[in-house]
Amino acid sequence: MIFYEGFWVIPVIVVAVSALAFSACLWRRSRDLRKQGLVWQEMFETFGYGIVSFDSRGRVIIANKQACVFFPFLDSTSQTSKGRNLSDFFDYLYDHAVDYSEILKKALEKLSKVSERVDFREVVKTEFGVCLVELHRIKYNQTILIVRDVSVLMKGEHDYVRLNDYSFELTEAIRAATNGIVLIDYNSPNFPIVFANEAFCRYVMRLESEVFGAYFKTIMCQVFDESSCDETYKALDGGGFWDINIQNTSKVNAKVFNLKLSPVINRSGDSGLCVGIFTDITALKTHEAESSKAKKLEALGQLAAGVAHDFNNILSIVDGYARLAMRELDDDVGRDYFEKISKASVRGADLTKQMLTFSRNKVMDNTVVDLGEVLSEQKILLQPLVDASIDFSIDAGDMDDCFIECPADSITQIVMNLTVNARDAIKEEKECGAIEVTLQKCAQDDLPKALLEKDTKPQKGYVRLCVSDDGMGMGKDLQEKIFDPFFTTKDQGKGTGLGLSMVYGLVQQAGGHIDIQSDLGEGTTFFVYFPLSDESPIKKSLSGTLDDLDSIKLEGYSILIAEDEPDLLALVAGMVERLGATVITAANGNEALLKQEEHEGKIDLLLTDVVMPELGGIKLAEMFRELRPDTKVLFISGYPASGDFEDLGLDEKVCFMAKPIKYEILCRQIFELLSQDFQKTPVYQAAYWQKTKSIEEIIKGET
Amino acid sequence: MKDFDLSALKVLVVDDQIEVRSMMRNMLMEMGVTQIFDAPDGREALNFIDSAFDFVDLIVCDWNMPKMSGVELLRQLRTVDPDMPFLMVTGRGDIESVVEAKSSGVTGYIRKPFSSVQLEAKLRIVMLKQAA
Repeated sequence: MIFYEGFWVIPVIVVAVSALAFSACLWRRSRDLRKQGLVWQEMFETFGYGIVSFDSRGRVIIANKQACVFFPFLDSTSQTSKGRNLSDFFDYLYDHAVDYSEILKKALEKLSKVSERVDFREVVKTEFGVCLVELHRIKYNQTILIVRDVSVLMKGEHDYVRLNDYSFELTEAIRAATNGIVLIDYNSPNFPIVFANEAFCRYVMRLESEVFGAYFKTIMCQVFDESSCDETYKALDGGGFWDINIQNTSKVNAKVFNLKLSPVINRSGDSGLCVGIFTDITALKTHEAESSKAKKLEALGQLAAGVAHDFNNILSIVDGYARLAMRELDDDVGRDYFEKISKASVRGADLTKQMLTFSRNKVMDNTVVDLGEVLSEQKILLQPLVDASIDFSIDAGDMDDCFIECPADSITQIVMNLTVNARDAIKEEKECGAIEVTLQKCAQDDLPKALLEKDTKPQKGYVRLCVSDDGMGMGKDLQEKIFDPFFTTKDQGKGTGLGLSMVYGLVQQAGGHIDIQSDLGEGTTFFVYFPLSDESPIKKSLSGTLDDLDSIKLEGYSILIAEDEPDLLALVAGMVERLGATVITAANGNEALLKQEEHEGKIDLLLTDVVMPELGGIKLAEMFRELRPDTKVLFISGYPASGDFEDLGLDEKVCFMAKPIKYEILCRQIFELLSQDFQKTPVYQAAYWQKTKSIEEIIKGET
Repeated sequence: MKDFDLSALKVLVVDDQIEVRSMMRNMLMEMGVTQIFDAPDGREALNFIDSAFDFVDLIVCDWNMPKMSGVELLRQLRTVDPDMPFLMVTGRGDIESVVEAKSSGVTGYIRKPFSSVQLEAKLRIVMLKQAA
């Protein structure tokens, strides 16, 4: 055995060398690894996708640059610590996830290879772009998030979706529009309809299924009248922009439309389509017609009013001097002439009053009357106007409570003028005929358009008064003019042309409407619509019989008593009140004048003493005749009937009673006087109507 | 009720037409009025009233006058004399005119054409209203 002292050196050297070699190897390896790691890192960063990995507890382990571009808060170098774990990240994702269409989802699915362990895939829109985010669970409960930029892909889809939304909204808007909208194919013959909205289908009264693909020209000629169709075809054939008014042919549902046609220019600059817009202008046209008629009448009325004023002045002078002259003359013949002058000028004044009726609103008289009752009373009044050869009937029907706000006077004027018109229409052509006056309640459907479109509608609806004849009738042209003032078809001097325009004015004042239905050779019917009033008329009733004085009742009557002896005044007032009438007392003529001036309603009876200081009873009665011609007068006198009364020229309306007053006699006189209604004899009617119209003129046919 | 005497009444008639003024004068005289003054227009009427205040108890005035209408005269009068009885003569019966006249302070009005009986009645009424 050779042992030498340096033997131990060799293993040390071997160990040292191998250690060195090993560590060099290690070093090299780690350097390689490091290099590899750097390469991996390089790869990781430049992968193109954003990658984030989270540990089992959800904390970010590492995130590459790309991921940080999309989600800056992942950057470990950033100050914020928020968003650096999985749950925060999910919150962020859900806040920004955008729901995209199925098509895109499918496309995106193809993009990513499906792995069974994909837990989540969403498209997220961030301020940096749109990206597809996928989550994968991997080994050791770690989670990897892959983020892919799909902005470029999204761009096209984005537009498409927006367009889809837009066009959807647009289509719905067009569909729902209140104007009729129709798209017509310009280039095909007969112009088929490509699209039509609901309103259009309604206007042409067709179903949607009938309209789509149907020929526009065909539909037009089925629905609209000839001239409308001609104009429309011209427009379509001509191309370009057109604006025309068209009328449909329906009798029941007549409407007027405005049609605007415009070509739709496509991308290549041609017009393949035309869009037609239908606007319902029926209401507008009706209003226009009514308002232009009203304006015309107003203008004519103003003209007439101006003339009338001057006439009134002149007539006042003529009448004034005639009356003065009558008083001056002793000569009967002369007086008679002046009386005729006076009467003629009064007639002239009535005529000017007629002209002024429609020129401006008179002081509105809103008395509520029962139209049915007033109408029934007209028969006797109107019968003398139509001779026996004409079959004249008034049927107020079985209408109760037909209350309208129109004075009885106006109603009489209206019916009288219409009747006379009817009579003349018959007489023009033949010897005999029939005139029918009827009254009906009017159902909503029967109302004319002008009333349906009014702003304020009466609660109780309308009542309709019809005056129809089988005379010569009138054409459309005549119907337009018939209410014009001064328009008449009669010969010179035979008619003033004011009758029907006065009717129009009176109907307007009552808040009503008048319509005509007539055809040449087929007679005419005038329809007068009155709004029904919510109020009831003040019922005046005179009841009881002369046999039983206690039964006599004067409900609703007003009586003015003028008597200078206070005890007598109180006595008579008491008696009259007992009868149920409203009493107005006056201690003398002056007070009576004042009281009647202040009293707003009708005064049915003036009960006056003859002898009173200052203003006597006779003078008072004379004044009453001028101021209140419909008031009856009963004189109380202590003196027997004297010749004073003859001067007054008063007719049977005036009675006389002697003092001392006995209740029974007072009762009887009042009852008899008040119950003498104006229908009893023609004399009364002539006297009554003298104030408003000359009855002789009417009988002779001058209206 | 105060009684008044027609013969003591002083009336001013205002109208632009001389025939109307003379006719009114005649009518008034018929009914017993003796003191009658007249003016052809509003200006002169106002001058008269200013200078001869006590000489007018009642004014009867036409509505339709050139230069100054009846209503204008009434308004101007009312600024100096709110009580003077004023009877407006008018051809109009329309509601606007009535309202306009009433709001301007007219005491009464009478419509053309009228008879002397009517005129007397209205005259009395206007005077009675003022007395009340």
